[in-house]
Amino acid sequence: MTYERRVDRHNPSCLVFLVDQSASMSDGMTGANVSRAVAVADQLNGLIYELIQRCTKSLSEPPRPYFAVSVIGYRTDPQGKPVIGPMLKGALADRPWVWTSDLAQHPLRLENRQQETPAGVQHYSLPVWLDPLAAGGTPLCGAMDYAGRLVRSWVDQYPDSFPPIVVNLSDGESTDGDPSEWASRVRGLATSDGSTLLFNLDMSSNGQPALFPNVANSSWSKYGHTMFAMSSELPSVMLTAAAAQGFPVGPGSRGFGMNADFRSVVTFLNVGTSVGHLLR
Amino acid sequence: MTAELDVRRLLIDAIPAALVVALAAVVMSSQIEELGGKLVVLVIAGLVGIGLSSLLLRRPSVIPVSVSPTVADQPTLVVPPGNAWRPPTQAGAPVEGSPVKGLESFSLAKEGAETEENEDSFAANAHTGTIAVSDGASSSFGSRVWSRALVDVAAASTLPLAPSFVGEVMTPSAQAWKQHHEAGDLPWWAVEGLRRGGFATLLVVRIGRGREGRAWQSLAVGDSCLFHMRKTKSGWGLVRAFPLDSAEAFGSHPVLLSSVSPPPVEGIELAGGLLVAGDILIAATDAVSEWLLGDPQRLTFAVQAPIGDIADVVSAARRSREMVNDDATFVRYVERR
Repeated sequence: MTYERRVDRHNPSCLVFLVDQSASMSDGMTGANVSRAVAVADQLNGLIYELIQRCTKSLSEPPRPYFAVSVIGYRTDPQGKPVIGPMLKGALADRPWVWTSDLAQHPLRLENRQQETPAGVQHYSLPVWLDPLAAGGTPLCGAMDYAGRLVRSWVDQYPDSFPPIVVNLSDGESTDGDPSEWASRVRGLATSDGSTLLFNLDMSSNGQPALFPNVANSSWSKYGHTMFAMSSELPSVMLTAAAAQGFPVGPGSRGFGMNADFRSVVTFLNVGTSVGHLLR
Repeated sequence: MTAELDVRRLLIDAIPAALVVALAAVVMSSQIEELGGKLVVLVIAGLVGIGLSSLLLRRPSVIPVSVSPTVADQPTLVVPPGNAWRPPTQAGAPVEGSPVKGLESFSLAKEGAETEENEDSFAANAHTGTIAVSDGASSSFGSRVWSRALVDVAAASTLPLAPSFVGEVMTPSAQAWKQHHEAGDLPWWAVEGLRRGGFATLLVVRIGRGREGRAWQSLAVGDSCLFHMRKTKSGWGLVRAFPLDSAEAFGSHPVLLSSVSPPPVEGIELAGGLLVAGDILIAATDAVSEWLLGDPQRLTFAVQAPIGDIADVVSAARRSREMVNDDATFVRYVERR
């Protein structure tokens, strides 16, 4: 059986977030009056937020180091050279991996937000780890190469852990070649518990929204189809978790989103009995 | 004269019983990882002591000597086809709780975790024959405090076991959970954790008088389970496994009670059964329950072996990955003649 290993402090796992920072990301996103760069930053901040909640046990201790996290940005400079590397700032800058415990302690800032609820307006603090950035091209093959090296170092060090997960947030319009082969190599890296999972969120400006589909939609662009095909199928343990949360998943559903809210994907991770909900 | 003899008899009985109580307290302090407070440990230790003393001094033949699960000649467990056989009483018929003796238990935190990280809780009220077990969900906030509050309130309650019981237990439990977490300036993750709340299962078992004689009644939300075992001519038989009756029925998403939400409208299960002398009831959290249902020989072992041996086997099963590495709570009750 694969993808069965429960994540805890003694058996941590890892997530690599690849964040498209190319200029194409500044185009407006379907149905939303925000640039795609802002949408991607929101998704990343939301994913980290949810991940930390999965690691939070009680008031008496800070969130636990269940996951090592790498946040890698990819774009090109004015000369067209790929700029790929860790993109967290402040206390977490320039580190290839940071633990969920570190992320919880060191957001870039806390933003004051408010939310309308039946009980009135609620004020709350929303942590932000990443600000939007949009410049240059989309070296997705280079980003996959970078992710592959990180994942390789992880599986060497933790050969029995729950397999690494690579989450790519992009519009998928690779400017340095076909990423399919690179993606296949990343998915080929494995621990004793299974192969690396590659999930993709495609924020291209057209295409029918979809979340965890098992077939491609004809309204998607060629790159949308490529990104779908590159994405791993959700293992059965995650399918069960997704179904329990009410997502219409079935056999063959992939870790793929088209213009969708992707934050729920980290709530499918097995850190014990799941309460399966995603709020705010 | 008769009274004097009775007093002497009582004293003679009490001395070895007291010795066993003391011994049990020492043994249990090392075996019972966490029962949420010295008082509970002492109460249970006392019960174990009394149970052991009656076992050792008066009824040496009630429980057979321990057998290892690997011993080949142990009795065969008779599992009725499809677990279709039900005791001849209405499921969930009211039971008026009465004092129980002979409760034994252990609760082990996950392998590699500290005792104080155990999110399972167990409480019993020996006077009302009420046992409560709760498994706090690992991925929720303050679930250890929540499961402890639920079992404390449930075990102390004498309200009838009906769907309304859940709400009656949850209200004071949620209050206790909230009070526990009241603090000044909280970090962002704690504020969000408090907003989302703690989650836990609840299994309550009441032992006492039913309409047709000695009986048990149980209420369950989630996958903490009760096993009713009976010895037959051909070996130990599983009378009832409740609310789940097969290892395949377990998953990572049981129905749970939330510390910040109203009681669930669905998923409250009720059951009951008649007790005859020698019957054994086992209440356990999900990992142990799933493991017990995975192989009939494990249930046979669980009814017969000394409680410490069962704890050892459970630990070993978790290390060898035969069992999910989860908190493990096990409570055993023997119906005396």
